[in-house]
Amino acid sequence: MWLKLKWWFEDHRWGVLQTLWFVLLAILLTYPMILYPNSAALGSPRADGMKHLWTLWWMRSSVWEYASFPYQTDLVNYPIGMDLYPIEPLNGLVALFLPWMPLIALSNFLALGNMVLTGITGAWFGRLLSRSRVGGFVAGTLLEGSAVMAFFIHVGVGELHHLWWLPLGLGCQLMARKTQEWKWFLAVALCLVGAMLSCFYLGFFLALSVLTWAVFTGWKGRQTPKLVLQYVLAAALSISIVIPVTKSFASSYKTGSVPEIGLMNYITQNHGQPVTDPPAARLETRQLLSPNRESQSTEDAAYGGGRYLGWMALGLALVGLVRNPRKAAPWLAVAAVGVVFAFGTYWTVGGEEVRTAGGIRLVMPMFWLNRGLGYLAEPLNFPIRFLAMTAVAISAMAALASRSKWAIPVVMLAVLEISWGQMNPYPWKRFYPRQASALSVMRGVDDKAVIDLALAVRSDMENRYNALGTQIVHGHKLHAVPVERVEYFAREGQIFVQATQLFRDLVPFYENRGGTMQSEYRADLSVLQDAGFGWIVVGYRNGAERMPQGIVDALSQLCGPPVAKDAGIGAWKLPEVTYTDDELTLWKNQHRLMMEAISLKMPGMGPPQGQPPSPNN
Amino acid sequence: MSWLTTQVNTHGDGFEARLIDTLQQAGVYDAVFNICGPFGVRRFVVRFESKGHTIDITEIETLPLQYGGGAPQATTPQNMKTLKHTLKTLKHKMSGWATWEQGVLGVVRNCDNEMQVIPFFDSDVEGISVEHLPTPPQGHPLEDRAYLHLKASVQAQLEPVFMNTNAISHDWKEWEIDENILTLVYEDDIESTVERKRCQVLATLDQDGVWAWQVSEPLFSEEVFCWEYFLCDWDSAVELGMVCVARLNGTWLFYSLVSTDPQVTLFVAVWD
Repeated sequence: MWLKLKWWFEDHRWGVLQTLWFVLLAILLTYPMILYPNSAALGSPRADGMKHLWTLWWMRSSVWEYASFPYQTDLVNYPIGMDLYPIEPLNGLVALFLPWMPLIALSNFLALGNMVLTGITGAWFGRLLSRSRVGGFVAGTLLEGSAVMAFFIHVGVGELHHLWWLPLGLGCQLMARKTQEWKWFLAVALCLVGAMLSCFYLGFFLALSVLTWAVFTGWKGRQTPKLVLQYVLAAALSISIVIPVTKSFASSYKTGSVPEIGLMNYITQNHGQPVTDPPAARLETRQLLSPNRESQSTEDAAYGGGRYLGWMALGLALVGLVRNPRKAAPWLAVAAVGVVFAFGTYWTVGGEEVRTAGGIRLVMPMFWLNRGLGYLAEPLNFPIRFLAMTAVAISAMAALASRSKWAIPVVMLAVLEISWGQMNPYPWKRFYPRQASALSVMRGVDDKAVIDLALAVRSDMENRYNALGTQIVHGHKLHAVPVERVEYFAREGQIFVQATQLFRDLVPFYENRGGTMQSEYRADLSVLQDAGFGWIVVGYRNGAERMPQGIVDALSQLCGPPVAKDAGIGAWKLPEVTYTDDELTLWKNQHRLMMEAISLKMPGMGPPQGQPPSPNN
Repeated sequence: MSWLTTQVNTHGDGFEARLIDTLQQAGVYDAVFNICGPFGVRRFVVRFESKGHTIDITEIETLPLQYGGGAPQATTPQNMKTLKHTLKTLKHKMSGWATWEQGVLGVVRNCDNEMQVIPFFDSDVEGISVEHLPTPPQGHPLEDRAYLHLKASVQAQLEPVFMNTNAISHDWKEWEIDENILTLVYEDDIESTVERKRCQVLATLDQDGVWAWQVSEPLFSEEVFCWEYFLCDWDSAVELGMVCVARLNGTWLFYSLVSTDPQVTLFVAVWD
């Protein structure tokens, strides 16, 4: 046995050592996360990390705690529920197999795993391209250590962690073109489908990279017609699967309808298409090569990174281009395409759009691309992410720089230089969910739903963030949707709670401005009980404020002593009431009428209103 | 006998003035002001204790005020580190004449950013809580519940306003507002382009952070629209401007300097 293991290691020595290096690199880049994997999650506290954590919890909890299909859920917008498209299905799928792992540790190890996988697939891709182990090592190391990889972790968008789709798909394409075997074209098609479904952005970048590289390497003498046919069939297979899914994605997120005209007309004519990319999400040329750029605002600190390419990495790519121009040139084109699209819809300098003499904004290719995507699926909001293509292409060119082992320390220095020069600081940012461990006593007590009073009073960013964190701890169904943008389209649960007199009477207590409780709330409690509500959770911001005695007294008078109480947070169990069928029918009708009245005037949750009144009014 | 009485008995009536001076010299006032945030009504206590050569901040105790505010808004790790450092300096500066092992700072700030810091040490700390602090007579309009509700309620409308405001090029050569018409003149070496848009002047923000409405009557009924002027920082000013645009069903927010010395920025709701 030991001998067999030794032989296996002799055969795979390079692969094993290289994998260990990628693990070590991921640990070093994310240090000191490895020392405290369950204390804080990798990612900026100002970005989307909390939604990422909640998504992992939602998918895992749906299956293991509620034995239900996650995509149709009543964990939010209770009692109606909603269809919730899995924004990061692959991470969610992995989470299903690790039900025992604490959520923050799970998130951190998923990030670590995706980084290692990016290194491994990058090395495979680089080795195929350069036909050299060292070339593979260089490509994998550069990609795993790129500012783009760091940014994707920092910004907390879990589906972007799967950067490995790009080298994997492009590696398959290298094999497909080289061998012209159908299985490799099928592999390319499957990578396109997998990438597109697990992360629309990365899938699209892979498709664009495959297309660009295919155009530049399309000529293969007498084999060209067959090659073209194989590409066309692979593309057709991918598109036939992806388009229906992306259309359902667009409709489930209500991204707006398009006029009934053809695709080309929609792309070339003006039909009031939205410009969805803010200037801050667009690349400015100097950002590519300016080390130690400082963030200008909290939003910039969260979303402004990932733009620094690294002088040493570019130097390696240049050496690759000089030494092997025929192989490297198509990757130069892929890198350029990534940069051009990263500029976004309009050319922007210093955060402002540049105009021509006639005051016309300088339109970039993304302008038309986004119209096409808006017609078929959904326009892209963050063009800066196109730099993923550039990062992969630079790794590819760098892989061609040398087969000599001198490249190994050089690429390590290149990663060090990127880590030093990129905008996101080292050690990488980590964030903590709101401290709500006191609510853990609610877990498993029953399966009754929770009214989150803060979210019912005011559904703003802070209360949503806190509600995501507290729901992870208490694990119960929630009346509202604490996910921004999605909440606009699923407000029935919110209205259900707001239509009760109990809620209206509790608001002044919650706001610490007095209030009066009625002697009894049988009608409200019956309607809530019948709908499956059993709890009220009250949370104040991030725990910095103590709960006002008024709300504690009011809820204790109604429900008895709190089941859980901690700094700025508490949970009460709603008292059970008895009622007759006739009473319930009457109270439900009254409640329904109140819901209808609220839904007519509920401010802000719907789309923008119609034409503006005169400003003089 | 309380810690303060003991110190006054030892050092005489000038002790309290000396203590206040030392607090200022140690930078405690500035550090506390920083954790309060740039504006807003605050009422909280900071508990701390000396541990060897370091100071531990053990708790910040606060309650939501009935008109909003109360809790410090900028308790970032950096600001807390600075506060700890100043408390350490305070202990060092006091070491020759009044020692302590634990303390409490009671902090009260009104809507005009006038702040009071009340220190308690050792035996005086017992029983001190946020309820013992005076309550400022009124809140800050940007922390008013009605304004917070308004902001939450117009989030859907704010998105396009934010997007449109970002998408507008700000490189006009000149601009002018006359009779609710905003004229933007874009110019280069060859020609100039003039754009005219319907607008509503909202307010100005000066370099001291004073937001002053420039409307003849309040735009809406919430308190924030009824105060003639109040303290505000840049981010909150832009946010308030955008809330106004969204509420007026406008398209984007125009802002530009109208004076450079002192710096005054004008905010205008614009319809395209």
